[in-house]
Amino acid sequence: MLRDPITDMHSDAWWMRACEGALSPQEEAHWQAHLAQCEACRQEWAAMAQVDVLLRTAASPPMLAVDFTARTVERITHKQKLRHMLRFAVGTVVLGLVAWIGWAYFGATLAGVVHALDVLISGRQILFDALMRTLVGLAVTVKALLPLLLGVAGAALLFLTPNSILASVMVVWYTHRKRAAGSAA
Amino acid sequence: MEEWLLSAQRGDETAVNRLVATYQQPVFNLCYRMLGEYTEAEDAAQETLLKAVMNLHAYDVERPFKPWVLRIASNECIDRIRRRKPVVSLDGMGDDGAWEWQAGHSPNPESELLHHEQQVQIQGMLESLPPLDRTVITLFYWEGLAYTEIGEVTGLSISAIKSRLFRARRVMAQLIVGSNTLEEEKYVA
Repeated sequence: MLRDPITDMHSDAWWMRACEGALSPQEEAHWQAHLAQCEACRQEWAAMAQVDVLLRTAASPPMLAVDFTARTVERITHKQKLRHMLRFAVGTVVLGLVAWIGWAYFGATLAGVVHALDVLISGRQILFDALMRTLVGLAVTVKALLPLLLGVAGAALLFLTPNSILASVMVVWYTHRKRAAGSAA
Repeated sequence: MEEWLLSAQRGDETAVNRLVATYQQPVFNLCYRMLGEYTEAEDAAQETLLKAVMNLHAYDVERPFKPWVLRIASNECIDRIRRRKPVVSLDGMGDDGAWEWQAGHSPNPESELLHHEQQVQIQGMLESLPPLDRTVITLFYWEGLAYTEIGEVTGLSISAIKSRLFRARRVMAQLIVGSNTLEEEKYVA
Protein backbone atom coordinates (compact mmCIF):
# COMPACT_ATOMS: atom_id res chain seq x y z
CA MET A 1 0.00 0.00 0.00
CA LEU A 2 1.34 3.41 -0.97
CA ARG A 3 1.83 5.95 1.78
CA ASP A 4 -0.14 9.13 1.71
CA PRO A 5 2.29 11.80 0.39
CA ILE A 6 0.69 14.49 2.56
CA THR A 7 1.24 12.47 5.72
CA ASP A 8 4.73 11.62 4.52
CA MET A 9 5.50 15.30 4.15
CA HIS A 10 5.00 15.76 7.87
CA SER A 11 7.66 13.20 8.70
CA ASP A 12 11.14 14.15 9.92
CA ALA A 13 12.69 12.18 7.07
CA TRP A 14 10.88 14.30 4.49
CA TRP A 15 11.78 17.54 6.26
CA MET A 16 15.43 16.54 6.52
CA ARG A 17 15.54 15.84 2.80
CA ALA A 18 13.78 19.12 2.08
CA CYS A 19 16.26 21.04 4.30
CA GLU A 20 19.22 19.44 2.54
CA GLY A 21 17.71 20.25 -0.87
CA ALA A 22 17.62 16.55 -1.66
CA LEU A 23 14.09 16.46 -3.07
CA SER A 24 13.56 15.52 -6.71
CA PRO A 25 11.93 18.18 -8.93
CA GLN A 26 8.63 16.30 -8.75
CA GLU A 27 8.84 16.02 -4.94
CA GLU A 28 9.78 19.68 -4.75
CA ALA A 29 6.65 20.59 -6.70
CA HIS A 30 4.52 18.48 -4.33
CA TRP A 31 6.27 20.13 -1.39
CA GLN A 32 5.60 23.66 -2.60
CA ALA A 33 1.96 22.75 -3.23
CA HIS A 34 1.74 21.36 0.31
CA LEU A 35 3.31 24.48 1.82
CA ALA A 36 0.74 26.61 -0.04
CA GLN A 37 -2.04 24.61 1.61
CA CYS A 38 -0.67 23.82 5.10
CA GLU A 39 -0.38 26.91 7.35
CA ALA A 40 1.54 25.12 10.15
CA CYS A 41 4.14 23.67 7.77
CA ARG A 42 4.51 27.00 5.93
CA GLN A 43 5.09 28.85 9.19
CA GLU A 44 7.62 26.29 10.45
CA TRP A 45 9.39 26.12 7.09
CA ALA A 46 9.74 29.91 7.05
CA ALA A 47 11.04 29.88 10.61
CA MET A 48 13.60 27.21 9.72
CA ALA A 49 14.76 29.29 6.79
CA GLN A 50 14.99 32.28 9.14
CA VAL A 51 17.10 30.24 11.57
CA ASP A 52 19.38 29.18 8.74
CA VAL A 53 19.89 32.79 7.63
CA LEU A 54 20.36 33.97 11.22
CA LEU A 55 23.04 31.37 11.90
CA ARG A 56 24.84 31.93 8.60
CA THR A 57 24.94 35.70 8.97
CA ALA A 58 25.76 35.82 12.69
CA ALA A 59 28.74 37.97 13.57
CA SER A 60 31.95 36.22 14.56
CA PRO A 61 32.74 35.88 18.26
CA PRO A 62 35.01 38.60 19.70
CA MET A 63 38.76 38.33 19.17
CA LEU A 64 40.90 36.98 21.97
CA ALA A 65 42.99 39.31 24.10
CA VAL A 66 46.46 40.06 22.69
CA ASP A 67 48.24 38.46 25.64
CA PHE A 68 46.18 35.25 25.52
CA THR A 69 48.93 33.27 23.75
CA ALA A 70 51.63 34.36 26.20
CA ARG A 71 49.42 33.62 29.22
CA THR A 72 48.47 30.20 27.88
CA VAL A 73 52.05 29.22 27.00
CA GLU A 74 53.21 30.37 30.45
CA ARG A 75 50.53 28.22 32.07
CA ILE A 76 51.51 25.24 29.90
CA THR A 77 55.21 25.65 30.73
CA HIS A 78 54.42 25.91 34.44
CA LYS A 79 52.26 22.79 34.27
CA GLN A 80 54.98 20.88 32.37
CA LYS A 81 57.56 21.81 35.04
CA LEU A 82 55.18 20.69 37.77
CA ARG A 83 54.62 17.41 35.94
CA HIS A 84 58.38 16.79 35.65
CA MET A 85 58.88 17.53 39.35
CA LEU A 86 55.99 15.28 40.27
CA ARG A 87 57.37 12.48 38.09
CA PHE A 88 60.80 12.83 39.73
CA ALA A 89 59.29 12.80 43.23
CA VAL A 90 57.06 9.83 42.47
CA GLY A 91 60.01 8.00 40.87
CA THR A 92 62.17 8.58 43.94
CA VAL A 93 59.44 7.41 46.31
CA VAL A 94 58.76 4.31 44.20
CA LEU A 95 62.47 3.47 44.06
CA GLY A 96 62.78 3.89 47.85
CA LEU A 97 59.72 1.72 48.42
CA VAL A 98 61.02 -0.99 46.10
CA ALA A 99 64.38 -0.97 47.89
CA TRP A 100 62.70 -1.10 51.29
CA ILE A 101 60.28 -3.88 50.35
CA GLY A 102 63.10 -5.76 48.63
CA TRP A 103 65.27 -5.58 51.74
CA ALA A 104 62.35 -6.60 53.96
CA TYR A 105 61.56 -9.67 51.85
CA PHE A 106 64.99 -10.70 50.61
CA GLY A 107 67.17 -9.45 53.49
CA ALA A 108 67.55 -12.95 55.04
CA THR A 109 68.46 -14.46 51.67
CA LEU A 110 71.00 -11.71 51.07
CA ALA A 111 72.52 -12.32 54.51
CA GLY A 112 72.83 -16.03 53.61
CA VAL A 113 74.59 -15.18 50.37
CA VAL A 114 76.97 -12.86 52.21
CA HIS A 115 77.71 -15.64 54.76
CA ALA A 116 78.39 -18.18 51.99
CA LEU A 117 80.80 -15.76 50.36
CA ASP A 118 82.49 -15.27 53.70
CA VAL A 119 82.86 -19.05 54.17
CA LEU A 120 84.24 -19.39 50.67
CA ILE A 121 86.83 -16.71 51.30
CA SER A 122 87.78 -18.32 54.67
CA GLY A 123 88.14 -21.76 53.00
CA ARG A 124 90.42 -20.27 50.45
CA GLN A 125 92.53 -18.87 53.27
CA ILE A 126 92.70 -22.31 54.97
CA LEU A 127 93.75 -23.98 51.73
CA PHE A 128 96.46 -21.38 51.23
CA ASP A 129 97.74 -21.92 54.78
CA ALA A 130 97.88 -25.71 54.25
CA LEU A 131 99.74 -25.30 51.01
CA MET A 132 102.28 -23.04 52.64
CA ARG A 133 102.79 -25.52 55.51
CA THR A 134 103.35 -28.38 53.08
CA LEU A 135 105.91 -26.39 51.17
CA VAL A 136 107.75 -25.49 54.40
CA GLY A 137 107.65 -29.17 55.55
CA LEU A 138 109.11 -30.29 52.24
CA ALA A 139 111.86 -27.74 52.55
CA VAL A 140 112.72 -29.04 56.05
CA THR A 141 112.77 -32.69 54.83
CA VAL A 142 115.01 -31.80 51.90
CA LYS A 143 117.45 -30.18 54.39
CA ALA A 144 117.59 -33.40 56.51
CA LEU A 145 118.33 -35.62 53.53
CA LEU A 146 120.81 -33.22 52.05
CA PRO A 147 124.09 -35.28 52.85
CA LEU A 148 122.63 -38.45 51.35
CA LEU A 149 121.40 -36.60 48.33
CA LEU A 150 124.81 -34.97 47.92
CA GLY A 151 126.58 -38.41 48.18
CA VAL A 152 124.25 -39.95 45.57
CA ALA A 153 124.78 -36.99 43.34
CA GLY A 154 128.61 -37.23 43.77
CA ALA A 155 128.64 -40.97 42.98
CA ALA A 156 126.45 -40.40 39.94
CA LEU A 157 128.80 -37.68 38.82
CA LEU A 158 131.81 -40.00 39.37
CA PHE A 159 130.32 -42.84 37.34
CA LEU A 160 128.87 -40.76 34.56
CA THR A 161 131.94 -38.68 33.53
CA PRO A 162 134.39 -40.26 30.87
CA ASN A 163 137.31 -40.71 33.35
CA SER A 164 135.01 -42.33 35.82
CA ILE A 165 134.02 -44.88 33.15
CA LEU A 166 137.69 -45.86 32.68
CA ALA A 167 138.19 -46.02 36.42
CA SER A 168 135.09 -48.16 36.71
CA VAL A 169 136.43 -50.60 34.00
CA MET A 170 139.76 -50.88 35.85
CA VAL A 171 137.99 -51.50 39.13
CA VAL A 172 135.94 -54.28 37.47
CA TRP A 173 139.13 -55.79 35.85
CA TYR A 174 141.03 -55.60 39.18
CA THR A 175 138.15 -57.25 40.97
CA HIS A 176 138.03 -60.11 38.41
CA ARG A 177 141.85 -60.68 38.64
CA LYS A 178 141.74 -60.75 42.40
CA ARG A 179 138.89 -63.30 42.28
CA ALA A 180 140.76 -65.41 39.71
CA ALA A 181 143.96 -65.41 41.87
CA GLY A 182 141.95 -66.34 44.88
CA SER A 183 140.33 -69.34 43.05
CA ALA A 184 143.79 -70.57 41.67
CA ALA A 185 145.24 -70.54 45.14
CA MET B 1 51.63 16.12 10.20
CA GLU B 2 53.43 19.45 10.40
CA GLU B 3 57.03 19.30 11.60
CA TRP B 4 56.37 21.86 14.35
CA LEU B 5 53.55 19.73 15.76
CA LEU B 6 56.09 16.92 16.17
CA SER B 7 58.43 19.40 17.85
CA ALA B 8 55.61 20.45 20.17
CA GLN B 9 55.07 16.77 20.95
CA ARG B 10 58.72 16.65 22.04
CA GLY B 11 58.15 19.65 24.31
CA ASP B 12 59.77 22.40 22.21
CA GLU B 13 58.53 25.70 23.65
CA THR B 14 58.60 27.61 20.34
CA ALA B 15 56.50 24.91 18.71
CA VAL B 16 54.06 24.94 21.64
CA ASN B 17 53.80 28.71 21.22
CA ARG B 18 53.00 28.28 17.53
CA LEU B 19 50.43 25.58 18.25
CA VAL B 20 48.62 27.80 20.74
CA ALA B 21 48.73 30.81 18.41
CA THR B 22 47.37 28.76 15.48
CA TYR B 23 44.46 27.04 17.19
CA GLN B 24 43.47 29.49 19.94
CA GLN B 25 40.87 31.40 17.90
CA PRO B 26 38.92 28.38 16.52
CA VAL B 27 38.99 26.82 19.98
CA PHE B 28 37.80 30.05 21.59
CA ASN B 29 35.06 30.49 18.95
CA LEU B 30 33.65 27.06 19.74
CA CYS B 31 33.86 27.69 23.49
CA TYR B 32 32.21 31.10 23.11
CA ARG B 33 29.30 29.67 21.08
CA MET B 34 28.91 26.79 23.50
CA LEU B 35 29.18 28.77 26.73
CA GLY B 36 27.94 32.18 25.63
CA GLU B 37 30.18 34.14 27.97
CA TYR B 38 33.56 35.71 27.15
CA THR B 39 35.46 35.09 30.39
CA GLU B 40 34.31 31.49 30.78
CA ALA B 41 34.94 30.82 27.08
CA GLU B 42 38.48 32.21 27.39
CA ASP B 43 39.10 30.06 30.45
CA ALA B 44 37.72 26.98 28.67
CA ALA B 45 39.87 27.72 25.61
CA GLN B 46 42.99 27.99 27.79
CA GLU B 47 42.12 24.75 29.57
CA THR B 48 41.55 23.04 26.21
CA LEU B 49 44.92 24.12 24.81
CA LEU B 50 46.62 23.08 28.05
CA LYS B 51 45.02 19.63 27.87
CA ALA B 52 45.89 19.33 24.17
CA VAL B 53 49.59 20.09 24.76
CA MET B 54 49.82 17.90 27.86
CA ASN B 55 48.21 15.00 25.96
CA LEU B 56 50.01 15.43 22.64
CA HIS B 57 51.52 11.96 23.09
CA ALA B 58 47.98 10.55 22.69
CA TYR B 59 47.37 12.40 19.41
CA ASP B 60 47.29 10.18 16.32
CA VAL B 61 49.64 11.89 13.84
CA GLU B 62 47.80 10.30 10.90
CA ARG B 63 44.67 12.35 11.63
CA PRO B 64 44.11 16.09 11.21
CA PHE B 65 44.88 18.13 14.31
CA LYS B 66 42.01 20.64 14.26
CA PRO B 67 39.15 18.14 14.84
CA TRP B 68 41.22 16.56 17.63
CA VAL B 69 41.70 19.85 19.48
CA LEU B 70 38.08 20.87 18.86
CA ARG B 71 36.96 17.57 20.34
CA ILE B 72 38.83 18.41 23.53
CA ALA B 73 37.20 21.87 23.50
CA SER B 74 33.76 20.40 22.95
CA ASN B 75 34.18 17.93 25.84
CA GLU B 76 35.49 20.71 28.07
CA CYS B 77 32.45 22.91 27.30
CA ILE B 78 29.96 20.06 27.71
CA ASP B 79 31.50 19.31 31.12
CA ARG B 80 31.22 22.95 32.12
CA ILE B 81 27.59 23.14 30.97
CA ARG B 82 26.76 20.01 32.98
CA ARG B 83 28.50 21.41 36.07
CA ARG B 84 26.56 24.65 35.86
CA LYS B 85 23.91 25.15 38.49
CA PRO B 86 20.58 26.39 37.21
CA VAL B 87 20.62 30.12 37.85
CA VAL B 88 18.49 33.04 36.83
CA SER B 89 20.27 34.85 34.01
CA LEU B 90 21.46 38.30 35.01
CA ASP B 91 22.67 39.29 31.54
CA GLY B 92 22.16 43.00 31.11
CA MET B 93 21.08 43.53 34.68
CA GLY B 94 22.81 46.21 36.73
CA ASP B 95 24.00 46.00 40.32
CA ASP B 96 20.70 47.34 41.55
CA GLY B 97 18.82 44.67 39.65
CA ALA B 98 17.50 47.09 36.99
CA TRP B 99 17.96 46.27 33.32
CA GLU B 100 20.51 48.46 31.65
CA TRP B 101 22.10 48.87 28.26
CA GLN B 102 25.64 50.10 27.91
CA ALA B 103 25.82 52.65 25.13
CA GLY B 104 29.50 52.06 24.34
CA HIS B 105 31.57 54.22 22.02
CA SER B 106 30.43 52.88 18.67
CA PRO B 107 29.95 55.47 15.91
CA ASN B 108 26.85 53.53 14.91
CA PRO B 109 24.95 52.67 18.08
CA GLU B 110 21.82 51.52 16.20
CA SER B 111 23.64 48.80 14.28
CA GLU B 112 25.51 47.85 17.42
CA LEU B 113 22.24 47.50 19.28
CA LEU B 114 20.86 45.37 16.44
CA HIS B 115 24.02 43.24 16.50
CA HIS B 116 23.74 42.85 20.26
CA GLU B 117 20.09 41.81 19.99
CA GLN B 118 20.97 39.29 17.30
CA GLN B 119 23.74 37.84 19.50
CA VAL B 120 21.35 37.58 22.45
CA GLN B 121 18.75 35.88 20.23
CA ILE B 122 21.27 33.38 18.82
CA GLN B 123 22.72 32.66 22.23
CA GLY B 124 19.25 32.18 23.70
CA MET B 125 18.38 29.73 20.94
CA LEU B 126 21.69 27.85 21.36
CA GLU B 127 21.15 27.54 25.09
CA SER B 128 17.82 25.84 24.45
CA LEU B 129 19.68 22.99 22.74
CA PRO B 130 21.36 19.97 24.35
CA PRO B 131 25.16 20.52 24.56
CA LEU B 132 26.01 18.04 21.81
CA ASP B 133 23.50 19.62 19.39
CA ARG B 134 25.04 23.00 20.23
CA THR B 135 28.44 21.61 19.27
CA VAL B 136 27.12 20.24 15.97
CA ILE B 137 25.44 23.56 15.07
CA THR B 138 28.58 25.54 15.97
CA LEU B 139 30.91 23.31 13.98
CA PHE B 140 28.60 23.24 10.96
CA TYR B 141 27.68 26.91 10.75
CA TRP B 142 30.64 28.76 12.21
CA GLU B 143 33.65 26.48 11.91
CA GLY B 144 32.60 25.34 8.44
CA LEU B 145 33.51 21.71 9.09
CA ALA B 146 32.29 18.93 6.80
CA TYR B 147 30.09 16.15 8.15
CA THR B 148 33.07 13.75 8.38
CA GLU B 149 35.09 16.30 10.37
CA ILE B 150 32.14 16.96 12.68
CA GLY B 151 31.99 13.19 13.11
CA GLU B 152 35.66 13.17 14.18
CA VAL B 153 35.00 15.89 16.74
CA THR B 154 31.78 14.51 18.19
CA GLY B 155 32.17 10.79 17.54
CA LEU B 156 28.77 10.73 15.76
CA SER B 157 27.91 9.07 12.45
CA ILE B 158 27.05 11.25 9.45
CA SER B 159 23.38 10.30 9.62
CA ALA B 160 23.31 11.12 13.34
CA ILE B 161 24.90 14.51 12.61
CA LYS B 162 22.29 15.30 9.91
CA SER B 163 19.54 14.24 12.25
CA ARG B 164 20.87 16.38 15.11
CA LEU B 165 21.34 19.37 12.80
CA PHE B 166 17.77 19.09 11.62
CA ARG B 167 16.40 18.61 15.14
CA ALA B 168 18.36 21.59 16.46
CA ARG B 169 17.18 23.86 13.62
CA ARG B 170 13.62 22.73 14.20
CA VAL B 171 13.83 23.51 17.93
CA MET B 172 15.20 26.96 17.14
CA ALA B 173 12.54 27.49 14.47
CA GLN B 174 9.85 26.59 16.97
CA LEU B 175 11.30 29.19 19.35
CA ILE B 176 11.05 31.81 16.60
CA VAL B 177 7.47 30.77 15.78
CA GLY B 178 6.65 30.93 19.49
CA SER B 179 8.14 34.39 19.93
CA ASN B 180 6.36 35.63 16.77
CA THR B 181 3.04 34.33 18.11
CA LEU B 182 3.66 36.06 21.43
CA GLU B 183 4.44 39.33 19.66
CA GLU B 184 1.29 39.01 17.54
CA GLU B 185 -0.79 38.38 20.65
CA LYS B 186 0.75 41.45 22.29
CA TYR B 187 0.02 43.50 19.16
CA VAL B 188 -3.62 42.33 19.06
CA ALA B 189 -4.06 43.02 22.76
